[in-house]
Amino acid sequence: MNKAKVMNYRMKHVLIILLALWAIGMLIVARFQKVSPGQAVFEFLTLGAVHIADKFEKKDELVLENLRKATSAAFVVFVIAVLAVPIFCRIAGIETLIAQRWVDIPYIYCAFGAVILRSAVFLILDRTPKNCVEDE
Amino acid sequence: MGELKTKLKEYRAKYDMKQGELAEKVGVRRETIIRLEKGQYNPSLKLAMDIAKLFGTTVEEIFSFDDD
Repeated sequence: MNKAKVMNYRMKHVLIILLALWAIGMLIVARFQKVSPGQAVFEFLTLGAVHIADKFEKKDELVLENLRKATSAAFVVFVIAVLAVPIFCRIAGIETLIAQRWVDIPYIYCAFGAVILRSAVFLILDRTPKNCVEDE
Repeated sequence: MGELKTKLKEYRAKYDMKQGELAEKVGVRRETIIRLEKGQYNPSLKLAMDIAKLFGTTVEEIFSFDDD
């Protein structure tokens, strides 16, 4: 096995965050310029490619535990953003501009947001303690 | 449950093994070994046994809980 090609697993999630941000940017541009969001579909495929790429360290038990926590956190926020807030706004009859815009947010943004949040929470949970003594 | 205490660092020094080498031998990342040495992560039974086996000792000798 060529060790030089194996990248730190954290890099994978940094890459996912950057790609998801790029995808959201492309979606916003596509929306305002009234062009096909085909580029964003390409981004989806790219994100998928990152997941199957064999260039990163294998997941170990600490990664799996942190990913479980990150996924749970992202899921809760996603559900709140996609379901709870719009439902609350409609029930409460909030007709402010902010509330109306929130309800109109396409789910695709929330989906990419959840992807970003999951990776960000993972990176926070998985960060190396500052005061640790590293011997390499 | 008490705080996790480990003698991992001492055993690593005894065997002149770096964190990365130990990580590779037991099939985890170096970050996991760092967390273990700081007592910030409770390893699975399998990982604890793999580490103990590698150092030719018992799980209880390397890992213990401070119940104070």
